Amino acid sequence: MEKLSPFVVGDGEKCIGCKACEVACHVSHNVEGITAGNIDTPVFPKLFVTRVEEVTMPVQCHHCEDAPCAQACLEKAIYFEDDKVLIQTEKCKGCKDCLVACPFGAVELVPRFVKGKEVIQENLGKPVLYGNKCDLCYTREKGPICVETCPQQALRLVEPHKEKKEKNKKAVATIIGMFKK
Amino acid sequence: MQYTIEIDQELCTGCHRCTDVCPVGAIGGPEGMPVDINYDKCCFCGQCVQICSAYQEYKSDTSKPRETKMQERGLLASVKEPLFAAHNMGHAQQVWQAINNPDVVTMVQCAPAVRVGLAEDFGMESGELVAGKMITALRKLGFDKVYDTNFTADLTIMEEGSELIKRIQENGTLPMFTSCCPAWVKYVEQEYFDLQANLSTCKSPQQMAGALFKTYGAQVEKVDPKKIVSVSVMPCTAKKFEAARPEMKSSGSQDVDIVLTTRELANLIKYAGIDFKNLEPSQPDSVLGAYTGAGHIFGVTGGVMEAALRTGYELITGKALDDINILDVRYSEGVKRATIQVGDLAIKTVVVAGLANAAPILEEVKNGTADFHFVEVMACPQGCISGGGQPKVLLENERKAVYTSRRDSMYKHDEELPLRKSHDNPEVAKLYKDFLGKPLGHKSHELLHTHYVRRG
Repeated sequence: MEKLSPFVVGDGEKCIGCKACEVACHVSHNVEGITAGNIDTPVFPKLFVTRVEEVTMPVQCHHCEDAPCAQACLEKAIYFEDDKVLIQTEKCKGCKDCLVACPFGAVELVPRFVKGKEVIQENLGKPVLYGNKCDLCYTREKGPICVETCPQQALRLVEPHKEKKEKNKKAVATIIGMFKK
Repeated sequence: MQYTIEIDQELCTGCHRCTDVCPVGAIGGPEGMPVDINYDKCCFCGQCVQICSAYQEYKSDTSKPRETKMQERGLLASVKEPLFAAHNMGHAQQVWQAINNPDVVTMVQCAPAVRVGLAEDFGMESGELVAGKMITALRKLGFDKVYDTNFTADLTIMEEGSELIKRIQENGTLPMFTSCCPAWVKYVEQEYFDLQANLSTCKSPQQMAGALFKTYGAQVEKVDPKKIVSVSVMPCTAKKFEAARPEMKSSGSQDVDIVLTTRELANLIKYAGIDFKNLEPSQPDSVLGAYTGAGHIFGVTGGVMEAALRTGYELITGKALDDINILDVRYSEGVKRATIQVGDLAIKTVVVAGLANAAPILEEVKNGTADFHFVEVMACPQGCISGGGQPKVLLENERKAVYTSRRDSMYKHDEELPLRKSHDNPEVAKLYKDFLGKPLGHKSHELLHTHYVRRG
């Protein structure tokens, strides 16, 4: 059976809403230096700390197996690379179909910046936008930076099959224990 | 009224990371709600500014847009970095006006730790020493005189070292506390005023420099002190509070007119379009610019203690130290005690790193169990290199490594300098000869020493 895509989930019980994951996400994808003075664009995270009443939690892409965003994309800018759903941002036309298709609201349209300057569409006088979403930090050896950064360990990378198998083993242990009684 | 440190109620998410990092319990509020600062307790150390990650989102629906917030915070219009909830008031606009005002004479000083942090906001390596580039940048910005806080750090040692020896020899109040950290001084004033006589009467290097710019500096440069705008660049947010203290007017007017943080200087350099990375290094101006390694290490925990011991040892014994690197007082991770043999005298020292660790030591003094002579306290966790005004480390996981780089860079510069003991500083000697007379003398008393006030 094909391996299921991993994804990052947040734990609303642990999350304190500090947005350190958002900052880390932006920094990891866009910033060269180590201090705030090196950020020369607005912060565009690929996960979104969201508050609903008393609970805060980051929401991000689940890398769905049927990827509604990819299916909706007329430009075929959204695609699977191994087990990750990625966006080829140069192909994006800003049609927003992926935003509508995503059940989690995990895709955001953001303006393109080059060397700290917003790129403007000459004929329209409007900024060039592209779809932005979690890429699991696939170019990063240590994996998703949000997981590593969270001061509350409220984020984790779910590897569905691995988790399933571990749960199977636990279940066996429990059942054996049951019979031994 | 505007305070040095504020928390933007629209941006704060109530995560309470600042509450946890605040060394004096000044920040609080209900869970999940924006937090408030209790200004009777706040010592303006700015650790909350360093930890805060609640930023204003792009085109957020806050009632005040980014531009309004930038103005209210005193930021230059060119600043692009995100606005975080916890922040300090900025004063780069006032400095820009002063350096472009032909009717005033601008004099500037930079604290030791600025030169091991500044590079980071220009994408350079953490801890990279940019002492020379920093001086060149200040000249290019248009400061008329570029002096150095490191010089007055050496001067502080002459005064404070002499004060310690005097207290020991004449049965004065002991232990003596260092007084160069303004957050620590405010803490003693509000929480332990009964122990205020233990604080050294020495002003901080920033304030000594300020007092000298408008007196000695004015005299040497033959300028009217009233025309001098005295600017300092500090790794510290509490220095803004210190400079504004009403008693800091020994020269006749406010001794330090405007304080910038390291971050604000970086922003000012960018605003002026200066290519910082490619600047040629240069030296600070005489007669308030030369420094030794001892003055430089003020910027790291244990540094004031070590600098004082380097000089105290020679003043008392008349002999040179076997090893000038006094490792026993370095690398405090909270409270570090040591006994240093100085001739017949066993000087017992305590180095406190982080204001949260000060109370138990103060309690020992209060209840009479303290057996030590000299206590150094720095409010920030590793001293000024980790100050609230330093470039803000973006990833918590990198903070430790960045601070270690800054610290190592401090000691490396100390080792590379030709002079490493404050009493060897030729400009300090000249200052005493031409102007001050002798340490703890009449003029020193007038310009370089201060008193404390009860708070709360």
